[in-house]
Amino acid sequence: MTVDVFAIGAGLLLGLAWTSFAIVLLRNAVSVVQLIVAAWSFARRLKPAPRSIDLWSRYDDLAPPVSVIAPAFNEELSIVDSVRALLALQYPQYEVIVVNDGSKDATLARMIDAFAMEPSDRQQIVALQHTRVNGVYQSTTNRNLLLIDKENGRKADAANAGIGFAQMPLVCVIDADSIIEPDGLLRATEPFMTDDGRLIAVGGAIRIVNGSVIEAGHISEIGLSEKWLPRFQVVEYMRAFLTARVANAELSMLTLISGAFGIFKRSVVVEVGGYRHDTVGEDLELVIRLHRHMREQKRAYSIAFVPEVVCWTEAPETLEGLRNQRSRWQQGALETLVRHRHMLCNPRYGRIGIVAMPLFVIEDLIGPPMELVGYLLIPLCFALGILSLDVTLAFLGLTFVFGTGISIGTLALEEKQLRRTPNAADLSRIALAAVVENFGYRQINLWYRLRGIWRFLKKDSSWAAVPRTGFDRSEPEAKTKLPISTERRQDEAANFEPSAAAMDGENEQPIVIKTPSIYSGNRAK
Amino acid sequence: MIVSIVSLSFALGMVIHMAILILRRQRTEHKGATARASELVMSRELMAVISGRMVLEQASTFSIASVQDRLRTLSHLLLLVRGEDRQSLLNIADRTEILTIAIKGLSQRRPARRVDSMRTLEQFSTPGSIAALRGCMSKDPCLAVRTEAAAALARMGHLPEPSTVIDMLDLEHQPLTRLHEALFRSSASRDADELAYLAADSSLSAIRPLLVETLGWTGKFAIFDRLQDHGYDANPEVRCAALKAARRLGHPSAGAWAIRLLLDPVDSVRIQAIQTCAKLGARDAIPVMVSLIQHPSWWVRMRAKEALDTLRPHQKIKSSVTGLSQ
Repeated sequence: MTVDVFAIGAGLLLGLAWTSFAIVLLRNAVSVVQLIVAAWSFARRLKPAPRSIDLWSRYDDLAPPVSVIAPAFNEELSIVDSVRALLALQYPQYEVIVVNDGSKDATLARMIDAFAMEPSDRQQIVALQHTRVNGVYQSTTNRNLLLIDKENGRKADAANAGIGFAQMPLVCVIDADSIIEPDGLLRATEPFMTDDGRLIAVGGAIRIVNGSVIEAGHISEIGLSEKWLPRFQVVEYMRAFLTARVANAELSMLTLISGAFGIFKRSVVVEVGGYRHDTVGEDLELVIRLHRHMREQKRAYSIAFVPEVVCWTEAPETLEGLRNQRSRWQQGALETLVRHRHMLCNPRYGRIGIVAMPLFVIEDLIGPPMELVGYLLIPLCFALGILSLDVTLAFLGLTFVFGTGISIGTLALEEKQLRRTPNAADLSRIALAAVVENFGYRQINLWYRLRGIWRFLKKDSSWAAVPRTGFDRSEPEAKTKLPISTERRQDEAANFEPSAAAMDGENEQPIVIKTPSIYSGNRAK
Repeated sequence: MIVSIVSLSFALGMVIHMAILILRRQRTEHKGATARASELVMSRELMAVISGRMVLEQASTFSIASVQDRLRTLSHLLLLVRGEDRQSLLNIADRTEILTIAIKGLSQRRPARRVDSMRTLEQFSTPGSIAALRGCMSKDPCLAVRTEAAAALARMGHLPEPSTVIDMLDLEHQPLTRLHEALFRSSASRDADELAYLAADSSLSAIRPLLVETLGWTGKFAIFDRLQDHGYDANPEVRCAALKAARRLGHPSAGAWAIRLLLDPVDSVRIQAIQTCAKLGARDAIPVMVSLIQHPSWWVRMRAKEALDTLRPHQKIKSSVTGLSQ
């Protein structure tokens, strides 16, 4: 009997160890395929031409007008610089819509003072937000600047309010503290130059700004942080944007456009009801919902990705911040996966259902816990003598050594194709980080992702802050914490009804406007 | 064991590759100062040649520099000079045959590399590079490369005539993009007559809207009668295009037929008509526009409000009157 229990236990351990090994092998295989596809895509890619800037400056009406939407919460120290930088973007026709999401500080006052804003009767075309709009202001000095003052919701709610006011055919949703490259909009909208009407969204590469010098909302000198944590994230961002997203876009399987910078066809976003309020991964969820919507309607569409850097964002510099960010990403991914589970392996959704969603499961659902299980069980099984040294070494080789190869390979791709690392010394430091990150950082991240899975299972919907140093000014906690009660999130989730109104540019039908003019004195519920 | 060896070899291969790239970058950085100094000397030599103070054969640094360095210096100078000086620099490019390599690059196997060569050539508007780009536009097997060649020629002001462009880019069967619009606009004033002829050709139904809209960029009021005809075309896209063209030309006489199109059954045509009337200052359109602020389409109402605010700046309409607010 004792022998049987030992045999069963050993069999279970061995089974788990082999499953873990297989999953790690599969994840690495996927990474290699992505690296190869990305390299192939870069090799075939027609490099960005000066034609956009040249032809669009000659015929500026050909550049699709863009509404840049910047949700802001407690950004009083940085909002003026950020908006000035947005107003200085190189683009023929665009408007900037800043959405003050119920800031507790002087964000609103700073905006009104700095840009001589006055109340406006600009109307919302469609109300996608769940909170009240308190007022709308237009700048008297910059007519393309609009300020929406609303009750606090969250980024999704603020972005939805802005989308509702947007009158341009494209909306570019950013974070208020994102730093857009001066020609970032031009670069990101370039795919629309050769679009035959099918393109509905474009994502762009985002880099880590930590260590760079920021002046008046612009990067005056690109640099690399002295700290290791941001350096590891530089490698991660390169892997995510230059390998995974380039490859996914090449294979028409792009499922994520980062919330820090994304361009969407306004009419399509309105059709699907904008961002969802009841998830912490609203950016991922929106793109999956766009895929689902277009495929269910059997409409031809495409989602593109621009590998050139269009935007810079700040990475957390503490483990606490990293933990909160990564567990939130993990939780958001699982929420999206569960919400759209019927797309999984469903041929109706093409490559998204058959390939992208199962990869999601491997990468986000079973990948992190199984890799951690492998770190524990495979050495244990070897110690117990039920697993050979070869297999143990192979597992360690896959996790520690192969991962290094993938990271270094991505860095090499970046250096050959884009060359945005300022100098050889920084390049060496990033290469070193690409090696070191596999020994500790990667495992810590897996642990944080496990925490995200736990939060998902607990249905924990609180928003954990990601403390940041701030580029130069802001108070980190106040800047990044977006409080909203769990009860209210649940109420919002229950009331969420995506708009069914079909919209196609200027032919769209009128939508009931919940938010009244600020002059009326009424407030919509 | 195989997995371990593969992992190790893969990682090692990548590390070696990266080390080479880092060393290469380091070498480029070290050479940077020398390269800049050499580029400065070449620039001075070339400026001396085009001002007649030196003959090309005496430009020793330029003569011995690599083709890439010579091309870079010439490209840089071409951005800074105009007129005769520019022409002299282009002559130097022709005489020294430094464009030969770029022209040869147009026959490379990979389309992306062919386009890279094209990007070099388009900076040098010499007869040789124009001919090479035209050849590429007509014969390259890849449509994307042919389109890039057309864009390069358009930037240089040497795009072939519209019917040739339509044939070479197979525009009757390909989806039209903003880039195609830009191409036709670039040669509109030169090819006004042919564009007007093609715009009236019913066999080109797929590209007629584009051609009609391009008429607005010809700058010739003589085509106004034709635009009016297009304004009554059965295809709403052509009617929209005619209105856009009239707006672009900005002649007030278009107001009369634009006003009639304010009552077009298609909303997009009405919107264009509203914007055209506003742009042309057609005050006769005000009564119809006032009725349009009750229109069921939000966009028609909004554009009508904007147009009325433009035509009657001292009588701004409140949003509540247009029915935009609840």
